[in-house]
Amino acid sequence: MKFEDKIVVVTGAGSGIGRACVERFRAEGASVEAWDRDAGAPSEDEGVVRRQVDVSSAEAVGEAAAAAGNRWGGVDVLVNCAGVITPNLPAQDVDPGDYQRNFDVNLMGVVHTTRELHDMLAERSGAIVNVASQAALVCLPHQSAYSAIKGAVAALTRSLAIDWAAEGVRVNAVCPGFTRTPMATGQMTPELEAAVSRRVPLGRIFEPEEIAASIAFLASGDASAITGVVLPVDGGWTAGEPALPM
Amino acid sequence: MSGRFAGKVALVTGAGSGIGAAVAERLADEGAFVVLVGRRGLALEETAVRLGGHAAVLPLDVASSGDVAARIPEALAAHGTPDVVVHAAGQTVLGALHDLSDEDWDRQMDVNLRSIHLLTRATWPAMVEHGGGSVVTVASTASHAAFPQDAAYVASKGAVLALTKAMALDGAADGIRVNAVCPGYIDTPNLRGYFDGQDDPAAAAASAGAAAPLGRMGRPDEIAAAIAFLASDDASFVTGASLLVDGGVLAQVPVG
Repeated sequence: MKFEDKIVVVTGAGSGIGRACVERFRAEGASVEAWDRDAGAPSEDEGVVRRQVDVSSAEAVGEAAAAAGNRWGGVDVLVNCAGVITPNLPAQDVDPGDYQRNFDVNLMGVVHTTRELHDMLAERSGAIVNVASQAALVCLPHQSAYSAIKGAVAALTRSLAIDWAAEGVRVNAVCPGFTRTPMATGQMTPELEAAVSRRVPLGRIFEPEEIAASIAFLASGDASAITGVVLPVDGGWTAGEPALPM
Repeated sequence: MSGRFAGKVALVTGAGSGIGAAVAERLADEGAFVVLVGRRGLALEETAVRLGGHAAVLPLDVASSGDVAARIPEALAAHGTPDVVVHAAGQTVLGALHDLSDEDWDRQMDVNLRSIHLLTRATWPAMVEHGGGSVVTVASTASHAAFPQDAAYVASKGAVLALTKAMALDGAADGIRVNAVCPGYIDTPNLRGYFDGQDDPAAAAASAGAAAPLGRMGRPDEIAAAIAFLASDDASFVTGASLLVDGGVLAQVPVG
């Protein structure tokens, strides 16, 4: 198994892509630190330690990192899935507070976890996978705040990859398209899902497990020469227009 | 090793050495039967020995319309429709554009680009009928960023990536995913041959390693692992993508 004896930290672990990652890494032999804002009291069961962590708080992340270090003695993999989305609104109607909330969770969450776990990851030549978004690659209408911040996550991924390459820490990102998660489907009407599916060359929206499989690859030894990449997992959306005018 | 390709048939070009040989080995390790395609029969036989019988050799020139038309149908009949096709055959013709002859240009485009057209035409309809499959092209960091004295190669690899995306759109409705890996400097016999032509081969090899933030050249098996991922069901929602396997080189270069 690819992650036998490995310790994997997953943020946003309570639902969606994060939850699928917990299951995938467990299935491949890892012990998992599952961090989520809504986790409740710390618990441990079947190789999964759950902690309540608000990744927008440097202090909370620092405490969780220390606790993880005490429990396992080190960390091999960090997967940043925690994220929030903003209401679908044209740019002029987006509340600046929504930008701030996006910034605090989607970008500073990655900053805090990577900073706090850096030493442990460097000690084990570990790997980091950030969940950016298709919105980091192409424009999505009425998602200006989310797109801007996810673009920053992609840029941060490249910066960390360069800064930490000499220590053997690999840093990559996946860019999921529309995925069947509570976060995305909260705004998904049947009409919108049908429209999105028509725009996706593979013709459907995706399951969290499919994103988790790509994350597991980038985190594994199979990706030993891969760092600083931003991999679309989008059913072909960013490859081009699916149809000619007709 | 997991059996992600158990019961599957893979067809790999350029399978006599380097990345092609490594990916053939990897797919066979994960359970595939591999049809080894390339010009040099002896090199293919050597790869086949390492695959321990899970392979058939098919010596042909992938840039030859006649070869492909004559030999691929019989291979499909004998070994089954491929679930996976990997286009690893490639060549590097060095030089600035104004110095290249017609023959240089044609040779570069024939091996790196025309081969994909020919082999796709010969395998695609059967794959559609078979219910789909996965195609992986071997593009390059040169698909994204230019290199000096390498004009035809850069043009060919840029075209390979554009072609990959076009094939992905055309294959999506039929369940065929098409993706590219973009290797950086990989320690292959081809690249070693290039170093040997430099004034100081050891210094040239060292500078290729130093170009990557990870501080070394890649190994063929690392490209093979990335190709195996793209070819597998783990990449079930990845199509039309370009996966850099370059030790971080292009994280420092604007990619448009």
